[in-house]
Amino acid sequence: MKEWFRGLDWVLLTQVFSLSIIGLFIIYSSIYMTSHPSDLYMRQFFWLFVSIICMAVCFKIDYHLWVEAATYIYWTSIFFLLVVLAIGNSANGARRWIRIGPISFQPTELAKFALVLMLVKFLSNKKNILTDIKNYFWILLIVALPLFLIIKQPDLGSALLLIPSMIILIYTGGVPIRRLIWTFLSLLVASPIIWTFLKEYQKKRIEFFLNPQSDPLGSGYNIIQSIIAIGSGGITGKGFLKETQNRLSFIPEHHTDFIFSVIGQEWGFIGTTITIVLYFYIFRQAILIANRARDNEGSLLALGFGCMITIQVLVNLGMTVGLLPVTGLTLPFISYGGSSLVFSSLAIGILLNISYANRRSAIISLK
Amino acid sequence: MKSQNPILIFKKRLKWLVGLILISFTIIVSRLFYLQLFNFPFYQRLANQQHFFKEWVYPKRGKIEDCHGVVLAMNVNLLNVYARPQEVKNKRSTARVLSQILKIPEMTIFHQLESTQKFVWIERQVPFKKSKFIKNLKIQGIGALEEEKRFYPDHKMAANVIGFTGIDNQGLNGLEEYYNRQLSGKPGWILAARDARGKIWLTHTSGPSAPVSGLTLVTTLNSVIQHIAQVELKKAYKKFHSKKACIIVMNPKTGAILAMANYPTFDPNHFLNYPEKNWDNACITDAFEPGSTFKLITMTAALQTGIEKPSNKIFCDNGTYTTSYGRVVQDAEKYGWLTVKEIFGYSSNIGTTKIAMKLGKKLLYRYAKKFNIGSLTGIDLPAEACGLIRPPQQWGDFAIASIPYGYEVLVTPLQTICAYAAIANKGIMMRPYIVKEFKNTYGEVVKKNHPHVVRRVCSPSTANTLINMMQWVVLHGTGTAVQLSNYSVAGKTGTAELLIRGRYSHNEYYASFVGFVPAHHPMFAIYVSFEDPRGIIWGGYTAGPVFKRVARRILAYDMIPGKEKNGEQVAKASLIKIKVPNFVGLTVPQCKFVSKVSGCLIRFQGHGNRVIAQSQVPDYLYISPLTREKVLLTLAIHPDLKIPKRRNHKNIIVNLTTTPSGKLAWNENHKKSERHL
Repeated sequence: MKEWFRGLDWVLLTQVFSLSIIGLFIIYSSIYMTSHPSDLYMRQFFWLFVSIICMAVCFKIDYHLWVEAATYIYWTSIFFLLVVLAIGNSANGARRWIRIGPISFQPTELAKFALVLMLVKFLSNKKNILTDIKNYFWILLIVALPLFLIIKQPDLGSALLLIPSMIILIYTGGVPIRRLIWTFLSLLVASPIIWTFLKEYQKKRIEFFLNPQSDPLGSGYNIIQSIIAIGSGGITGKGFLKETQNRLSFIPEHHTDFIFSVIGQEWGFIGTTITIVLYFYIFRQAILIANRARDNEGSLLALGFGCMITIQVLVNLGMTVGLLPVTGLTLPFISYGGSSLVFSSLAIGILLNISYANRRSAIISLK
Repeated sequence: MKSQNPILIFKKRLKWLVGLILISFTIIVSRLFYLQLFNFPFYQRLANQQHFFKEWVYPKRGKIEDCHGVVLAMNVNLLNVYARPQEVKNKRSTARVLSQILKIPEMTIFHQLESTQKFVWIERQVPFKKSKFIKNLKIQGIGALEEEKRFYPDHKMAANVIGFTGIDNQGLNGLEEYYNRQLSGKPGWILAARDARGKIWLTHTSGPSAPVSGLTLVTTLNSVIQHIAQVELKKAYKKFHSKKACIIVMNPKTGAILAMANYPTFDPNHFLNYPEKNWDNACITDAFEPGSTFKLITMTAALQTGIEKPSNKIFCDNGTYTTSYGRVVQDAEKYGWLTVKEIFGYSSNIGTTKIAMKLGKKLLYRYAKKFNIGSLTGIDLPAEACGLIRPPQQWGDFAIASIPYGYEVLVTPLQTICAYAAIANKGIMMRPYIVKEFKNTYGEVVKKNHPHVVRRVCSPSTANTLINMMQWVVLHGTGTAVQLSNYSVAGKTGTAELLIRGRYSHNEYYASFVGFVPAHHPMFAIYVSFEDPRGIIWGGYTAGPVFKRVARRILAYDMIPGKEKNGEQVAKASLIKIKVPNFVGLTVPQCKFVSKVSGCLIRFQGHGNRVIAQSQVPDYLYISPLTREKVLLTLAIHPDLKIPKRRNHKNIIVNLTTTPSGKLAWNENHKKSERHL
């Protein structure tokens, strides 16, 4: 018991829980004016509870097990991605949800999780990864399949998150830079073709991202309103439950994708900076765990999940402050929503497990 | 590269990664710094602009009252019934119910409910009772919104003076226009929040500014006199088939306008149903060639300068006189030698012309200007005309044989009456005014318009001479039809040919009579005029009788003692007599019974069951039939007080005054009365 207690990465855990608690406050603030605030709030509590259990379970499972099961999880996620394309519930013109009884489930979240596992399996198992070009193509294929299905939904945000995460993972996994550059260049050549495949609203989003003021009531609206909310927060913000921008429903989806703007207006620069520092420390902790990991799998897993969470944070923040296009990615641990929270927690659980293994081995070696 | 350890590569590449992520976070934090610290004021303003706005709260428009507090203009709340068709569930039955209440065809309402609009008016300005009934039905999607509307309870009473308001309650005519700023008050505001869908939330109320209600205008108009004037004018107007008629009653000592009316007139509640020319207040907006009433000015000039005396004799050329410039002046009758008094009394144009020629252009012009001819009287009403008199250097050759008896000059009825009132007031000209006080909602007088002396036009002795001459007009001259049995009347007739298409008409006249009663202690100056009367054309026989009847009735109403001291009887006869009972010492139920019997309305003040004071002395009261309200008595009640003697009521009359809070308060007499108790 004592060993278990000492082996737990308390720093990471504290950061995650602080963010979740901040999330509860902000969600309360952003939904208490809606018609069924308690309903939403109770649901969030339920998912938080589920997430803690998931985290605990993951903490207890040896992370090698995940890598071994990666293939099955990967194909399950592909299956669900196909299902969602076929029968998914649509929201804002995109099919992203599968409804199973009372639970809505987002297969993309599972796919992200599975993709990291699958990639780690490939990168750590193949000793000759650095030389064999065939393996590199295999990796690209593994990434491309779910990515294609996700873009098909279409879920531009997740794609925008997956691509850099995968590149980082492949890059740090040891693939020569030459190949990455070649891949990148060929993608660049192909990008006009991809552009023609994009849906009209996705094109618009990218266009309006480049010039949000051009259509204040159209697609640029969200960004402008979000910036107004954040900007009017000032240094200290307007205070808890005092902000007006989402209270008066100027920001759509303020409790999910744009929740950071609520933080911005209520808690000001101080609040936003603290949140960002917490996120950065999660990343730092993940890197530390990756560095100290006993084996390749551990390193790559920790790095993969750490990057996945961090890049999601960066994409979301970039969107909220008007530096990146509107994509519809949630802010991990803070945004309202079950799927995101559960899969983020799974990732944290695995990170904790890796960290635990590191510490235990350190303790054992000390003994 | 092949030889490198994967772990080393991993760690090396990790450093790059950490650096990249750190840079990304730094970019976001600096962006936040830029937005939240650097550009905070800009976004703060932007946010406030789209979240908050001033919701204006409009104050109540002030009332307009006559000198005794009779309301001439007030506000009423009407309700507009509306529907939100999408929310109405059973449209057919709703239409049926509404049609029964509002008496509108069922199909009309049904079609409105079927419309695709989000909001439709079912009926505007529904009486309160009906709309309340509809509200109580609580049909989904049906509601009522209150709207304030100006209401003129006496309809045509002084309509041309009071004017009317437009759809947004802004004054458009008369007093409503002239005192629009005072009447409308100052709108206040509430800071309201508005959400993205435009819904308004009155949650945020920092720094509201309360609306300031409009002031109540207390006019100098007396609704009884106004009524008398209007009724008499209308009667004569119909009798003579005149085009237009004017009447003004004025207090010559102060310049207060007691009544002012035109015919044809209009109902300000439905002013759009009347032609626009009826809206004008002809008494001040229409300038005419006045004819003989202008002779007063010539006479004043001649007497004041000492050029003539009333007894001086002048030859009147037997009715036709040709000036050296060839202007033919004619009299209505042929006169030979007449005294100046007779010239005025018989209204000889020839005599007046000869006096004026002796007087000269400049003096005549100077006196005309003294009497405010050609300049505004300064009455507090909009659209006053100033009339016209040309300066002497512009006078043509005929002018000196026209202006002295009221041609080639334009004078408004108000200017004429002001001139006569100045003589009545022993030569002191007063500025006419119509609003005497401004009261706030608590009934406190905020501002007063005091009588204002314009100038002295002649010496008191000249004025007295002129009054005597005017009395002679009524006794022996052209105005004999105006004689009153009990009162001495001073006045002057006027009959002017109307200028029709550049020629003086010989069958269309401007007939007027202006004067004041009683002659030497004038209480009322009255002006009456008819444009183009049919049948009789003479001012003395058309406007004169109206003057006479109005004068008799208002003298009686005001209980001005006449020669034979029977004015009072006449007065009381034309009024309704009400007995104010003595309530002091009665219990509350007894009071209620007595009030029913006597026809007085009562209101209780304080707590308890016995009346210890009442606001009016128990006596006979004379109420004009126009003040339709009954006598309202305020009874002060008190517990645990024994009233030993009911009858010594005179000691326990309490003057109740209104405090700013709107409650009645005792004044100092209260203590005195208690001592007596």
